[in-house]
Amino acid sequence: MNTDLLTRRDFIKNVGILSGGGLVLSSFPFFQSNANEKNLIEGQKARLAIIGTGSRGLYHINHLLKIKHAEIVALCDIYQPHLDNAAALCPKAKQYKNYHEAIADKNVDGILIAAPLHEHAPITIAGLKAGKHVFCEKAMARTIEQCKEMYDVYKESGKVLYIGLQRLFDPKYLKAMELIHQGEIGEVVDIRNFWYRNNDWRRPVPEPSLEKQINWRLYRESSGGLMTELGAHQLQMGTWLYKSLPDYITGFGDIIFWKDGREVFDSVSVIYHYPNGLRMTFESIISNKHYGMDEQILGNKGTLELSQGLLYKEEPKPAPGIQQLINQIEHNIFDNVSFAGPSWVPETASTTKGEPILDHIKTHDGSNTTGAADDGSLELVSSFCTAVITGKSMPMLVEEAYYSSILALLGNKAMEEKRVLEFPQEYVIPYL
Amino acid sequence: MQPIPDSHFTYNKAANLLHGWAVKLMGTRLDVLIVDSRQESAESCWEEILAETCRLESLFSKFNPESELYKINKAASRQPIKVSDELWQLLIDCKRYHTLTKGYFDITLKDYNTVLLDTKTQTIAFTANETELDLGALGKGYALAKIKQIVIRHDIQCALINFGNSSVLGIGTHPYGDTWPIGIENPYKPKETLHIVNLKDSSLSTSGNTPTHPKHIIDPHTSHYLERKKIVSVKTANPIEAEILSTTFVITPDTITKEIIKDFPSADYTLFDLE
Repeated sequence: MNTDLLTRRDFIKNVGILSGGGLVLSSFPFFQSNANEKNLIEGQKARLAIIGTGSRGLYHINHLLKIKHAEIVALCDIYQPHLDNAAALCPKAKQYKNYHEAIADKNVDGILIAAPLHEHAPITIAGLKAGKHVFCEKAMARTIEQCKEMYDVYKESGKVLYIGLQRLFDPKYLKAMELIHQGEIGEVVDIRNFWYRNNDWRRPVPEPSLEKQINWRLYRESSGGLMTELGAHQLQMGTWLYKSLPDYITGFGDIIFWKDGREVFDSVSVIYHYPNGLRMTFESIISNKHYGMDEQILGNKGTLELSQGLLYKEEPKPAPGIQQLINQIEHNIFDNVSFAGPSWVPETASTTKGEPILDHIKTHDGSNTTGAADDGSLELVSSFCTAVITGKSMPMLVEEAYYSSILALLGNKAMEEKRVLEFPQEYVIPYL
Repeated sequence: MQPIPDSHFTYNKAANLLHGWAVKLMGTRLDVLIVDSRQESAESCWEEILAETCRLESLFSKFNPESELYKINKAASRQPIKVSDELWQLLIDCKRYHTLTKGYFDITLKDYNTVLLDTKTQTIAFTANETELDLGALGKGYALAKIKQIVIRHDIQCALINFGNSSVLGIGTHPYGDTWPIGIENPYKPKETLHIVNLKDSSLSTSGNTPTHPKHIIDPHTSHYLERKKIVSVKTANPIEAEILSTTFVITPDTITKEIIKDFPSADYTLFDLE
């Protein structure tokens, strides 16, 4: 894996996008970044404080250690064993227990937050108000009010804010978006998101008093459960693809299997209805992992499985030889074509297998509870470091994250209240 | 009723080109190119081709309980079975080709002498319990012969029909050339063209082993499967004969091939030994 900054040109080459119209570019924040940024940041480093050094914090630290223009100058966690783990990787970094002190550190240009969800808003807002650039894990915040406040503070601050939506940096997703914009699957008629795992989602707790701190994902005060931890990634497809907001949201959520004192649902199904009649669904269950994780985009001419990078056409493509002959006739060319042979095998298998949309696609099944390799996370963090140096925000990213978080949280609200919600207009921001 | 296969067509007005295709038809894929500025004729021709091929598939299928062939295979060893006119003509032809190919072309895959055809009553009977008929070796050729008639009836001058790559029919010529030049691919080395055959109101049939199907052609005289990496292609005006001869020539020894071909003066054959 090339750990240098991926330039725009490298990226275009990697994804195989040769010419992009405005429509396509608007879907790829990466392309809108400054092409000369590699020169701009030459020799400079983004000096970062990592706030929250649990499993996700360490995952980011391991990426940052590979990024030339990143320097970890401070570490912060209220839990000493987590701080010790991080200090072992970054022995020179200053250690803090209080995030206000870490933010105030004069050597810190930007902070990276991998703390429990309910801490996202307070730390982010403190960071931005202190004039620091901020990277915060997804989902954006624990409540929709906090999401809005974070967004407003970000806009006022003029600082850089990144939210951990790595799909915007994952080549197979970008390629899929390009294919969709080019009409490869025709008109999009549905988005189906699902994430299935089979584990209790618990971390070992050394003593009972630490339960809520370590297993913060399982309690409503600190977590939105499956919606914010998993759904927020996938619900981004709604704004990314439909370029609109749902008008109605409904769903059901229950604790069906892991009845161990947790407060968040272990089984959820949510439907987002859009004004034009289209829908997006999200379903997650953590007591069966057979179907794994995917986002399926259904069009009238084909289907894309985004996490697998596979394309299925509704109508099978002509055999290559015949296609060549058709191209000849359409372009007034006369030449021979080779396709004859003792073909005895039915030639229909390829139409059911799905076609990879990129060479060497890297996929994962969504079962890792910390983070998968090569899913765009490294590129995302690298891009943040660049932004810390240049002071330039990434277009789209905060807005996409804002809405995916709002949709995740509205899903929870609909399930908790067992009703159909209308999208609250006071949470519309100038985007789309 | 035969289920309608997965089929589609497009018509490109600028190129006057219709492309129709169907999958899972006679166990393979059918591609039809028709070059004609009369879009309606081209489309009705494609629809007729599709309907006719579906009809033939049900007529020829050994596995479809509704097909005439299935009923014959089930019952002809017990009693003579009355045969429809179309299948009767085909069985008579098969008998003739069996003789002309010195017994190598055999729709029983074993011993055609166990098949009794009574011309007076137009009935068929098997003298051995295990006898059954398999029209797989000429089904696509027969379909191409019927397709050829349909195309001619629609007054279409320029068409190419590809039935699973092994059976290709060229009517008229490529719109920008004086033939339909069709390359034969080496199944063991994809992208290598073994030979180019120029079709003009003629058809090409190719038989032989492939990497995925090394043993599927049986010698009725020895009951042994062909194991050599051998490909035979036959070009002739009659698509049925192209089919029969390519299947025959992959198993016949060279001396017998040369004798058989004397009775088919318009047929050209090419043999590729890929060992």
